[in-house]
Order: sequence, then C-alpha cells, then structure tokens
Amino acid sequence: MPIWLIAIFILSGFSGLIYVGNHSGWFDAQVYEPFVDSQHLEAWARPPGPGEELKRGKATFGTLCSTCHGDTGTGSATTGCPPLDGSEWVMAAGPNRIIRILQNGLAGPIEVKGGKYGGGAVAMTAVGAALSDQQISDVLTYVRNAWSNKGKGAAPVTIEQVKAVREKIKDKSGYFTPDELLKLPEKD
Amino acid sequence: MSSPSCQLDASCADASAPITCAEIDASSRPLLLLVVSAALWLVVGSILGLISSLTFHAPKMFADCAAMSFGRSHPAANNAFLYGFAVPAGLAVLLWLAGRIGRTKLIGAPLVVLGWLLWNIGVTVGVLGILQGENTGHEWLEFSRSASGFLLIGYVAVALAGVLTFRARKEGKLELSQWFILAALFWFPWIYSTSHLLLLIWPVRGVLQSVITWWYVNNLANVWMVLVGLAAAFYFVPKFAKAPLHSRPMGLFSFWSVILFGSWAGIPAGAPVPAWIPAVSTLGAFLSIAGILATWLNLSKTLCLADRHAQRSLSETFIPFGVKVFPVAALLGVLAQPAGVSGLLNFTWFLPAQQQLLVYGFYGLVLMGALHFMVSRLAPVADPKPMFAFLHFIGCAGGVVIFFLALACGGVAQGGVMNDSTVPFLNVVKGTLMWIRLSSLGELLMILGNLLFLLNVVLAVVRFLKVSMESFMAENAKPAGVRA
Ligand code: HEC
Repeated sequence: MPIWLIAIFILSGFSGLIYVGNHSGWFDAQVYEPFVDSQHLEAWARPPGPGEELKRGKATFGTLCSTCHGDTGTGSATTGCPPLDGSEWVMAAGPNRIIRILQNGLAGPIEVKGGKYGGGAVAMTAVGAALSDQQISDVLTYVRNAWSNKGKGAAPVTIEQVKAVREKIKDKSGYFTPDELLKLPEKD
Repeated sequence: MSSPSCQLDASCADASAPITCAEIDASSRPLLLLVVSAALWLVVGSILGLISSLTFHAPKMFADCAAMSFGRSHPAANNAFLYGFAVPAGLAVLLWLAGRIGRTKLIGAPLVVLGWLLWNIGVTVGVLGILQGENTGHEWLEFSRSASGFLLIGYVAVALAGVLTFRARKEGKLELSQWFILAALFWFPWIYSTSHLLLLIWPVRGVLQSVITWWYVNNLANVWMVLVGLAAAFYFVPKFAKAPLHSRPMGLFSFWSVILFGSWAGIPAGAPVPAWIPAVSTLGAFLSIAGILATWLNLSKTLCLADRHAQRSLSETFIPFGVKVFPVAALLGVLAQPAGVSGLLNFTWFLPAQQQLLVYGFYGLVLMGALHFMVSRLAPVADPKPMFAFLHFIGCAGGVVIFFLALACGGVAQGGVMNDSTVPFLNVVKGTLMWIRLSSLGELLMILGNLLFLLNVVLAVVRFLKVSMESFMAENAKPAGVRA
C-alpha cells in the first residue's frame, strides 16, 4: 500500500467525522435539518431585503396567475382573461380594488385597456384567499412593477394595506363584480 | 481454436493440476442457460428503457397504452436489466470463476438448472406484472411478492451450487477473486430477503421505508455488483497482462473497503429522515474513497503491463474499459452524497446518469467481457469478425458514455435552475429536454450493443449445439455409413 493512500484514508475518515459532527443533528431522531452555527440560523430567518419581494412575487405569479393571465401578463381574448400588463386596474393609484379581487375573486363584464373581458365562462376564482398577507403583497407588487408596468412609479403594495383590506371584507362571501369595485375609491 | 486469447488459459493448464480447463469448462455448460437468458433480458430491458424515454419526446405516442406509460415501462426496464440480466449473469460468472480458480468441476448442475428455471419464471411474472400495473412502489423492488419469492428460491438454488463448487476447491488458501466470489454469493440473498421482510412482509413505518430502499439499492449496486465485477476484474486483468496482480494486500483492502464502508453509503444528505442517518451514510461514502483509489491503482498498474499492440479479443476490450469506468462512477457516487452537492443534484438527472455509469458502464461491460470469454470456452466457436467486435464495443461503451455525459450535464444544469424558486417547474422540465434527447442517442447505441451481445451468445451456443449434434450423429451412424 502506498503511503499516500493510507494518508487519504485517514484524511477522508477525519473529514467524514467532522462532517458527521456538523450534520448529524446531535443524533437526535427529531432533527431533520440541523443548523451549523448561529449565522446559518439567521440566514434562514432573514427578513426580506429590497428586491426580494419581486423575486418571490414572480414565483407566486408563475404558479398561480400565469396560467390565465399569461407569462407576461398579456391576458387572452379567447378565454376572456384580461391583461395585467398596462391594465388601469393594476396600475391604479392604490391597491384597494386588486386586493379585493385576489381575496374574493371577480366575475362580471369588465373593461380593461379599452377591451371588453369577463362575464363569460371563465371567472377569476379567489386565488389569493389561501395566500398570506406577505404573499399577496409580493405578487401584487410584482405585477405592478413587471413588463411595461416597470418604471411607471407604481408604489409597492404593503403588507399593512393587505391586512387592512382583508379586515374590512372579512364578512364578504362570493365574487366581487367590477361595478361593485368601481364604486370604491382606488386608494384609501 | 486459433485465437490469440487461447494462450490466456496457459496459467490454468498447470501440469500438476489433476484437472484441465477444458474439463472444468465442459462441466460448466449448464451455466450457458443463465447466460442466454441474461442476454435476452438485457435486450428486452433496453428496449423497454427506450420506450420509457420516448415518452419524453413524443408523449402522445403511447398515450392510450397504459403498459407503455413511463410509470410502468421505466420500472419494468430497470427490473428487467437488474434481475433479468445483472444478477443471473453475475451468478454465471461467479460459478464459473469458482470452478476455474478452485480447479474443480461445477458441482450441483441440477441445482443450477432448477434455479435458472425458477429465477426466470420470477422475472417473467414480475416484469409482466409491472406492465399490468402491479408494482410494490419500492425502487428496484417493484416486482410483486410472488415474483420475488421465485427469485429468492432460484437464487439460493444456483448459489448453493456455487458454494458447493467453492468448497470443492483444490487449494485451501484463497485467491483474491475468491474472497469477492464468496461474499457476493451470500450478499444478495441477505439484502434481498431483509429488504423484503422489512418492506413487504412486516413493513416498517414511515420514513424508515425509504431508508431501507436506499440501503438495498446501494447494497445491490455499490456492493453486490462491485463485488462481482471486481471478482471478474481481479481474475481477468492479470490474465490479460500475463503478470501477477500488482498487489494482493491492496486488493484485500479494496475488498474490506467495499464490505465495511461501501455498504452504508447511499443515503443522500437532505433525505427526509432524521439528519444523523444521511450523515453517517456520508461518512461511509467518504471512508470508501481510499478503497476505490486502491482498486483503480491496483488494476491499472497491472493492466499497463499488458502488450498494447497485441490483437485483442472482445473480453480484452470490454473488461479494461469497465475497469477504467469503475473509479469514475464510484467517486461520482461519493461526491453526490454530502450536503451542498446533494442539494444541487438530488432529484435531477445526475443520479440516474451516475447509476447507469456504474451498473452498465462498469458492471455491465465487465460482465459482458467475462461472459464473452466464458462463452468462447464453454461453446468454442470461431471468434467474431473484427467489424462485429468494433460495433459491439462502440454500441455498449460509446452508448453509455454519451448517455452519461448527456444526463450528467443536464442534471447539473437542472439542479441549478431547480434551486431557483423564481423559475416555474415546467420551465425546468422543458430545459432538460435537449439533454434527454441526446441521452436517447446513447440508449439507441446501447440497444445496438446489447443486440450484438445477444447475437454473439446465441450464435455461439447454436453453432456449438449443431457441431456436437453432428459429431454425435456421426459417431452413432458409423456402422450405417459403410455404404459410402
Ligand atoms: C382562473 C383563471 C385566473 C387566474 C388563475 C387568475 N386570474 Fe385574474 N382574472 C381572471 C379573469 C377571468 C378576470 C376577469 C374577471 C371578470 O371580470 O369576469 C381576471 C381579472 C383580474 C384583474 C382585474 C382586471 C385586470 O386585468 O387588471 C386582476 C388585477 C387580476 N385578475 C389579477 C390576478 C392575479 C394577480 C392573479 C394571481 C394571483 C390572477 N389574477 C389569477 C382570471 C384569472
């Protein structure tokens, strides 16, 4: 046996033991993913930094919204799904109406960018009802700042705004209609 | 026989030996049953494999045929390869080597025939069952319980003949290969029965089931197949080099490394089980690195003594190739274990690529080389044409290399985007299509190689049967032949 092979054996065993020390979760059957040190823990609990909400919002958009509204928010005339890109509903001064749309869904004829949509076979279900306040604020902030909506200075949708609207409509059941929403102010 | 590889038998034709190689080989002919069925299943498995990957290219092609859907054809292909080809082919080589190295005839031929029959009934029932939707849901153990019963009894019958032959050896002191042979004979029934008891008879609960499956898959691929492949390699490589093995102690180190450390590897970090299990498993993988390097060093130091310019038989191309693949495949397996790497590669195409490199690139090629050698001794016929040998080798070796490279690259790329939560999953899937297409090219080549393997084996056996029939007839027809 060459000496370097023995050295490799000892070295790999040694690093293997260090690995076990760091990753074994103290041989506790309840620990599935141990942290290595306090920094590791902090990284997990990291508060969202600037730009992160757009990243997360994009992910939510990709799983929840893009099937109907399209990857780039163009909507589709054939299914009656209105565009989000350039939509005056999305780009309104405040998120008063769109939070409600996500929370309870929307049905009934609607005019977006001069085109007529909705009121047909496909309504928008309450896709946001199961999301957290943060997820709703993320996805709406993303929609207001993506594609050609980018750089138009649309203010981010804050978690507080989502909370406030949700609190107000907590007794409402069923879809909103566009007419109903138009009576509300864009912004509180 | 006029082929150059004929001299390879010289070491066996020791004048003091009371028995000749020819006699041993003649007694080993029942093993041809195992070889022929293995070659057949190898082709069946690779065709099923192609069908299952076609579902990626043309999802609509078999959309109306449930048996051909990925969820059925893929496990059917895997199991046909593992239990149709890998295990029985390994058994044939083990038994023949036990006789050859121990200088004794094969003992218990009826057991071999019986075991072969039961085993193949089991594989047929199992594969057809999977295609009909009968699947236990445990990776590499998808066969229904009744099929597995046939397999286990069949294995025990054949292995019993192996143990009897082993016991009848002329030398008490073991040659290196014999360590591997004996361990392999016992290893499979142990892991196979244990995993069945714990998964299907008295199932353990929850996450423990996946631990058992990982343990089994690792022990079949990284222990059993490695034991069998290295038993053949340590026997053939010195033969090819016409020199003794570089170092026997190093060979023993390889052996204990596989047995002691390789057997607990295989559970990747991030597995949904208590963290200490994958951590300890990773320690096992780390500890086996030196053994893998020792195997590589030992075999390549011996191989480099071989005459580079001599004309090479099929086994002399296949076995050295497999031997070179071994350290690569095994080290990649170790690399994929620890946290960090496994976070990137888990659930990607990388792992199937590495697995294919090990079970086909190393094990499959070494075994095919050994079987070619064996078949040419048990059923001696002329060596295949050079063009045939070339295509056969390019098919098997080229195919597995292309397959591996395509899926490994695809897997790394896939792992990168999969960890980016902003990329929707469907886009990840679409991104790998190009690599999957490339890998299908490799699969086609492997099918070609496997077909030629089958062809060679069947032709040799048929020609041999014809010749023996003719000589038998000639002998018995002599009195009547006076007329001429
Ligand atoms: C089931 C398909 C569907 C899904 C999924 C969906 N929508 Fe809608 N959405 C619609 C339809 C249809 C309308 C028009 C409803 C009507 O007035 O009848 C609409 C209207 C809207 C409107 C108001 C009109 C406009 O174009 O500005 C907004 C804002 C909106 N959706 C945002 C979203 C967001 C954000 C998501 C993801 C969280 C989402 N939608 C998911 C179908 C869908």
